[in-house]
Amino acid sequence: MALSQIESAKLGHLLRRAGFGARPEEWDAYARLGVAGTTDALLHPERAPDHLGSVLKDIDGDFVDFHNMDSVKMWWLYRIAHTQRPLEEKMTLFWHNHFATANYKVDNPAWMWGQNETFRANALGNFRTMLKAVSRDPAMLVWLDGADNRKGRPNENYGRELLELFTMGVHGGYTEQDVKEAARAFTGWRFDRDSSTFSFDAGQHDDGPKTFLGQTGNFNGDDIIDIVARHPSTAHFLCTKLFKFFISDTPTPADTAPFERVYFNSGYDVRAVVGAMLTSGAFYAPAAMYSKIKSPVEMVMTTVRTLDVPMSALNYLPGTLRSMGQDLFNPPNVKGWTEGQSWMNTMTLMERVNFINQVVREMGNRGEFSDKLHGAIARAGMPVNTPEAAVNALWTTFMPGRQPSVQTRAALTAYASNGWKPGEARFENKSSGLVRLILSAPEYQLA
Amino acid sequence: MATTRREFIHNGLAFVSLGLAMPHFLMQAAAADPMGAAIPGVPAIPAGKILVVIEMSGGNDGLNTVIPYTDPNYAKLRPNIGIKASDVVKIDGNLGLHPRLKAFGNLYEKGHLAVVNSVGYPNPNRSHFQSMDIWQLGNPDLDIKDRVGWLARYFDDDGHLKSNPLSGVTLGSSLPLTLFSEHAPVSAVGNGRDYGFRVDAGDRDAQLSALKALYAEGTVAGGNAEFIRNVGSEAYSSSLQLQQALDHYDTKAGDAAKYPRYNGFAEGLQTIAKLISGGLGTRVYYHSIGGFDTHANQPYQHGQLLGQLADGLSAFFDDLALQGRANDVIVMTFSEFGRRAKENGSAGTDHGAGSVMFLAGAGVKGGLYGEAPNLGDLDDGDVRFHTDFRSVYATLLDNWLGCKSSAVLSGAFPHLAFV
Repeated sequence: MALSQIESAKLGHLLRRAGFGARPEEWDAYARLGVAGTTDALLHPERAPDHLGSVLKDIDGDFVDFHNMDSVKMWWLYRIAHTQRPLEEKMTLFWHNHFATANYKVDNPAWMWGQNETFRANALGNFRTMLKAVSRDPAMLVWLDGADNRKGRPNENYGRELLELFTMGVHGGYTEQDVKEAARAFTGWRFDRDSSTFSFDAGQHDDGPKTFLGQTGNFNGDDIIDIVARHPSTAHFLCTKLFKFFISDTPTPADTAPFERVYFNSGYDVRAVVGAMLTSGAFYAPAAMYSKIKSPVEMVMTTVRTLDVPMSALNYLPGTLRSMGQDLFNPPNVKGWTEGQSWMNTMTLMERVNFINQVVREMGNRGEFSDKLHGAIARAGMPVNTPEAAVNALWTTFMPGRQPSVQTRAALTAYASNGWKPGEARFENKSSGLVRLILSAPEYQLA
Repeated sequence: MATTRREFIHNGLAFVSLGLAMPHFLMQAAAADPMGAAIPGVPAIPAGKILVVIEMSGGNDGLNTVIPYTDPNYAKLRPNIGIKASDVVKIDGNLGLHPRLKAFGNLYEKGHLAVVNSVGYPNPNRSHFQSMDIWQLGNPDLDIKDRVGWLARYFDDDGHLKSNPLSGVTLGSSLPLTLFSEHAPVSAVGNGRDYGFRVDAGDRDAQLSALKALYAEGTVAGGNAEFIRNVGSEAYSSSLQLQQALDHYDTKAGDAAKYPRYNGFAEGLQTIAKLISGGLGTRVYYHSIGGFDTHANQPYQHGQLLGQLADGLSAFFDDLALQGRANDVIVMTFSEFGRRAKENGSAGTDHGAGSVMFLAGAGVKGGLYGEAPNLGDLDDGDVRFHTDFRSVYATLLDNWLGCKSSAVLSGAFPHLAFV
């Protein structure tokens, strides 16, 4: 079933924002579901099979070495490339940046992998449940020194970042004293290094009375989480971050207020909040479309999926992403990547353009490029018999719902016209070069 | 990444060599073509002094960096992680450097190291990110709307600097807020070597001219698209210039300087030395070293980091001297905050306030500035600050970079005598 241009633009927007674009055959399936049906499918990943996790795990040692950080990075990128649950992976990426934890301190890829699975398991679940799981997570207990937090000698690191970066936000209304009291409540939280499971050391736990955000009791860490999860600042902080992630970079309090109500009405349900966002008017506002700068992972993985590049040829991706400024499992600090315009500077933009050139060249060298590209062109059902038509067809394939400017179109057409011989080998060269240029254009960096 | 490297040499050099082999007047023409349309002939930046900013991120423990080794309170506050008086590198009767800062001790003896004690700002913020923003913006008021870094404001105020994407250079792949504004065209150059567009040799000319056209002024308007277009056009012109500059480096001098091996921080310093020797005219270089957030098991980690810092900078200054540029460069270090005076329960320290800054180079009047920390008079467990960090900035802006600090810092701050 052919979608109208408007529906097609909306579907492309939805799949870019709530996933990592679509493979050609996936696009057909989503088009049959329509925008509403696709939204529903994305929000319910549990309805789609997830054989990928067990397959990848079964070949532990061959394909994935869970004790090697680059290998775990590839494991995750493999999941993103082949998942049938794109929003689950997109939310896992969101949580990785929200509870930003880095292996350069944790120094244990298996724990980093375990944390990633915790994010996935709670990707669209209950936020309070997520907070309790993350607070018990071995990688987090190392990263923010929770495992060193002792009765009588509290370590403030986790307590502070829990409030500042994970829940209430820096202006959320807590005090230095609240930080100290929260740190006391989490004393004695440990984990067993051999089994990588949470444990509780009662001897190191301070079970005395604490006054936290105006309430007094013999609080433990879970009590602190219960109090912060129901705090309005937490609703505002989380909804603002989700709004920036899915809709636009600069929300006002009025923009996020409706979603904060959903947070409370649903009992802190992330799926409800994200669902409300993906079906809101703000999400499909013309100003929101193609307004956000793609993160490196988004740029790389939408390209890999759209061009159907085999992951087996992409073992260099962890290094490529690092050069683009997004070293997975190694965010720069506990605040995570700043995102937005921070993704883009002279160096990282060059890396993006160089990546596109490399990946298209290598596909050509392997003889894969032509068939896949012509498949995509045929799917779009657009003619490619003139330079102008080819530019139009290829642009629409990669950026549905956005037109190039007159100058951009002219630049691409000038390139295509020079030595144009449709149907002959020379056109193959032109198509490869045209795709490189379209994917190197400023417009392609936007989602 | 061997493949990428090889490909770079085979394919990318086709592009890079364009920059290396071209006579200078053609370079200028290339930089003035559509990709660099905003750069009429690329004005050479006026020769001037250079500032290298070193960010020590995570919150460096000032009290274990410059140690008040005779203060009895020091040993009391730090029974487990304190540095013994017998181990410190003494620089006066009361203060000494961490043993791993031995190379800084040598600089100090030569009169090339200024130590500014108890630097901070009123109402210290203990959030890493907010305090880092305060230092990078040069403004303790975070509610300001215009989030432009203090050195970016210096560029913005100077027409020459504003028009050249290499006025400011940062290593790595992210721009620090210090150098970030919508106007200041600062370049992040990674490790320098790979800074260039890699286009296939066969289709090179056609691809490059189309790429330039896609990033020429007017292809996209407004918002993030235009922001990206600007970055792309700067990337193109700056990559040509930078590769040419790297080629000027006296490698023999670099070898003689003996940069520590397996030290990424020192490697970055050597890249900076190369660019300085290549005469790029860059006024500000930015480089960072992370890991100072020593909440637990501090002694080993902190010592390693300080060793990397001092050994790297020591080689860097040797290199500059051999390249004949020693008198043109001052290095400034900063960190977002110091740490609590009292150690915590996990052989570490939590977030504190006032800390220490170093200024190094032949152009510096060495010595002690600010006031030594008084551990008998703490401010809620933290070292009390005496010198506003903006005094250090103002001194550098007025007396080293040669601009008017009051415009950049929105106010006048007393100068220190280190330059």
